[in-house]
Amino acid sequence: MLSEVAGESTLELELEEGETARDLFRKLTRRWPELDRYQAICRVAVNEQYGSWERVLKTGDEVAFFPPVSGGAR
Amino acid sequence: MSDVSGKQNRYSRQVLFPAIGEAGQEKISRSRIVVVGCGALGSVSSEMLVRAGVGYLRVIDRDFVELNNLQRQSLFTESDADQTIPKAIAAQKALRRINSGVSVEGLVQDLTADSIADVCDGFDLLVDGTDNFETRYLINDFAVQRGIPWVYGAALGSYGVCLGIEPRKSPCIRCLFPDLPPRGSVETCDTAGILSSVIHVVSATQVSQVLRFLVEGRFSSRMLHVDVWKDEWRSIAAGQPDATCPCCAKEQFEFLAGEQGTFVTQLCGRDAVQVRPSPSVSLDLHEIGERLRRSFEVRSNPYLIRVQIDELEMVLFADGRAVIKGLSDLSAARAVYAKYVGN
Repeated sequence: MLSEVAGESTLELELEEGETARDLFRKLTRRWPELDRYQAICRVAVNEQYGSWERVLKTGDEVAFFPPVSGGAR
Repeated sequence: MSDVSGKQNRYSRQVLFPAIGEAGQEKISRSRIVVVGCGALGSVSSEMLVRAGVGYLRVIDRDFVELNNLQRQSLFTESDADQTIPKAIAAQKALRRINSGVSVEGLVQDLTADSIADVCDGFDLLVDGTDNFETRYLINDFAVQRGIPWVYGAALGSYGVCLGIEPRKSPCIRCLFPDLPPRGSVETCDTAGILSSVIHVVSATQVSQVLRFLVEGRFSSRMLHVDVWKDEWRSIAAGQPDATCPCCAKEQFEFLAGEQGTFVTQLCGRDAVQVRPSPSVSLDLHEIGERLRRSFEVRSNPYLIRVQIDELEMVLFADGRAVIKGLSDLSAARAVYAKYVGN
């Protein structure tokens, strides 16, 4: 869903020291403003493990954002 | 039990699978499972569970078969769609033909806060075949309160997810998504469509986790995220239950709390609204059909009546529910119901 908005499903980004998953999502929303509405409903995973938005990222971390999937009327 | 359902031969290939064996098959054959919702996921999962030889399978669904279901809802036929057969009834018939050794029961009703204990108490495991988060949060509340494992599954477009939830041992759905996503914030099959192939991937994962739980007493503790079109597969470690979860940590079972009144909901994938009185009522469909027949075209089968009211079509079930097709406005649907069925 997010990758449809952005037009790509993986990308590499440079982050400052101490930046978190939330900071990363903010960077993405600057590039794709339509992503903004998804932040409140997404789960974040770092290196294939669900984690916190406040987690500080390290070089080489793989971060994924997952909105809830319903399939139906919501 | 007929010869064809004789266990020895029937399940030999599954018994040969080392993690199952004779002992595992015995556990599977004693299991009691509820599949909630028998659309695409429910069809495929039920069929696999019945073929695997579970003991008792209850399938609950509120809807009836339509032609545009047949692309992915594998238990149903053109004849079911022609006759507007309720999905639970069509599924029950198909599943019994597949395996006469399994007790299969189809229930034509909505799963609600009022009905969930009657429907799900005494079962070992619940399988998600629903199309909405309200019902999933209701299942989650019930499962956490009673300590019953359940398997979340959902699919949209070419994308699907699956997670086995063992209350208090693994994250529940509200650990992952504490609040009901706001209406309109999540894409639906109305807007994104759905591939049949992703349904089979999600159901296959759900059923694998069901069998694993029955045999080994635990799920994989990972959540599948798959896009079958892009061929992207991810498995995310689910981790531990969230200590701040409103459901499994704080035990706020708000979706189980009683509700009264008439409930109207938009149905997935079509221009239709369901009106449901709560608590459910028992309607004399024959009497209502005769009354409406004086003014409108009425067709009926043993489970429902179908009335053409100008440009609207209303399908009325014996438990008082109506599915009104041709409108999307909830208050208009409530008004149609009040006018032709009653308050």
